[in-house]
Amino acid sequence: MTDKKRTGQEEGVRVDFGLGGLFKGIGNFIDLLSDMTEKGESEVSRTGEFKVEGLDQARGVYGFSVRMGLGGTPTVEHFGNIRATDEGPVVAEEREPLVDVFDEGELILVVAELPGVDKDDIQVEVQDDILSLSTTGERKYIKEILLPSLVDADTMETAYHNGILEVRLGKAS
Amino acid sequence: MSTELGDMFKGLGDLIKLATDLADKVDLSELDEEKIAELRRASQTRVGGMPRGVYGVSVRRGVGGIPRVQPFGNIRRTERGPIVDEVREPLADVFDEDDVLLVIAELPGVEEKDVQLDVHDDLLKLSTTTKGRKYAKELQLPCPVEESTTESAYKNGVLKIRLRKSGAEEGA
Repeated sequence: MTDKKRTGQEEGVRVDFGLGGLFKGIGNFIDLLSDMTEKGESEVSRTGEFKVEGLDQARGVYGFSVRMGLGGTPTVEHFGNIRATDEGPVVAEEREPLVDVFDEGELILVVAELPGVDKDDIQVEVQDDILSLSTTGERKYIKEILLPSLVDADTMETAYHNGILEVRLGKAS
Repeated sequence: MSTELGDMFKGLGDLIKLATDLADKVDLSELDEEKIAELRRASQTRVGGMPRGVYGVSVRRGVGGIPRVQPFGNIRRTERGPIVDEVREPLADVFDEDDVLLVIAELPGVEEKDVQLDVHDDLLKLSTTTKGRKYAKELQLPCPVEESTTESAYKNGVLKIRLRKSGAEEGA
């Protein structure tokens, strides 16, 4: 349980993100969502009719991830299949996956969570500094990722295991 | 269309906008150098490649058309503000299929042998012990289940668990 890790691990891997305007905002966001979750069940159970387009067939997922990005800038990324439209939220068939991009010196590592797809159903394309990811089959994911630098498409290596796709790309020289 | 429900989903739309705004409004000037260094250290602690905060909700149409909202992720509320935990709550759904309950959980990045299930009455505890990714979730099931009839299968990051309801006779 207590693997020794590099720095400041005395408190486990707990990271205090409770600082600054951004993180305060996220705190409020979580409050709102939690309130919604708590209220959701009791209020909603009174009646059955409402419209979120697409919810009949599918499940709506909406989330965000926060991390310190390249260069120390915190980045907030969205994922899921609920899209905001002028007519309110819509549940789409395709889900945007959770994706992380790591700068590993000479190469870029992209890690995407694609649970529930088969390896053969994954398509990855790269053009200049844009990586396009999509899947066919029972679960559909789609995502375009702007890479931090230009890459050489010929160097692309992909691996899929237990629902995680890893793509390695050499930077263009 | 009920007003309350409309409000709830209007709320969801607002939240999406809020998160989008947040992404645009990252302002480092409010953070002092020490905090930035702290965050940078944290981000370099690559615990299986995921030292980041994740928070989300899943919305699905439940029994009788009642939408069910379930949170997931590893950002927890504390009195000192949100913190990012090492352990992530997975996305999980429970389906009622007559004699059995089907639970589908998304656990990308773990091995099947590292998944632990503990069933007691109407509570399902799910956890993983992988070095890299850690998941944990307690699910309140809609009814009690037989503890001895749990079947599970893990494939491509998705865990499916079949639980026989208590009192449901074999072949009944």
